Amino acid sequence: MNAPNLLSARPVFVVGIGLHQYQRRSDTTYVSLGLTAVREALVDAGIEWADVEAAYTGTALLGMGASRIMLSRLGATGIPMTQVENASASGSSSVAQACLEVASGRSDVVVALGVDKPREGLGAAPGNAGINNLEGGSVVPFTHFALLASEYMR
Amino acid sequence: MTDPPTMVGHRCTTCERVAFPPDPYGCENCGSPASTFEQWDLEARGSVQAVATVHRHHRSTPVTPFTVGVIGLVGGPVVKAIVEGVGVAVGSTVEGFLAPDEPDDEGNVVVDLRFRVVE
Repeated sequence: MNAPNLLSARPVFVVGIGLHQYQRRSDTTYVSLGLTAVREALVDAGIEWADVEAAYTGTALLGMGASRIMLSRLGATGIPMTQVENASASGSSSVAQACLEVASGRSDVVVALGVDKPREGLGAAPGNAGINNLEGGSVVPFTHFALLASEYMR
Repeated sequence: MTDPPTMVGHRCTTCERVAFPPDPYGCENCGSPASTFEQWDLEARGSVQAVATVHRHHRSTPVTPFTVGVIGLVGGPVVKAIVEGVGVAVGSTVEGFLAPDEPDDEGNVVVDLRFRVVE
């Protein structure tokens, strides 16, 4: 049996685009780079962030977990966020994933984003977001999960 | 310096959400850009919503065992921080204080905002 051809069964449109200019490495965080582009795309499309149902972030160098700390600054709406790494094709692969998600009927409005910046050393992307907190290095992932469990058991 | 210390956060002038720490990007509630934020002072006082004690840590500091709490500040924001002392439990009222930390590479004094249980 042949699988349905999703991309011919349901049309997919690019309704808005945005760009942060390419530039030499600077103090500008990857969060600022990405948010500039997404805000511009939302204005171009004439839609609100609350209309967006899913996000794909293409990046090769930022490290894991780049999406939430960036896109939540448009409003933490609880949408699923997926990070796509495919070397220099990371951005176009995130567009492909967004197209398939719309074509499949799972979502009507999806953001595909490409953002990158060489970083110092290893570690997850939120460490380079330029946001400090009180806990510093005292809350590692398993401590975070222990706190979630404590809250859940209340 | 006030005792307990004042925590400097921000308030979104669009939706009135108060947050800590101050954020350079935008509001997690309504998405307004950070240019619409105003500085907002918060009292370092709140109640413990969740608690976890760490017995093994990948660094030499903080010295184990130490206890981390999720603290709902009276001014609204929820923060995670180290809570010192015995008898820390969900529901405890806690207050901030400045604990000396290691000086930085340039010899500057560094302090750490921690919390402790108040009666």
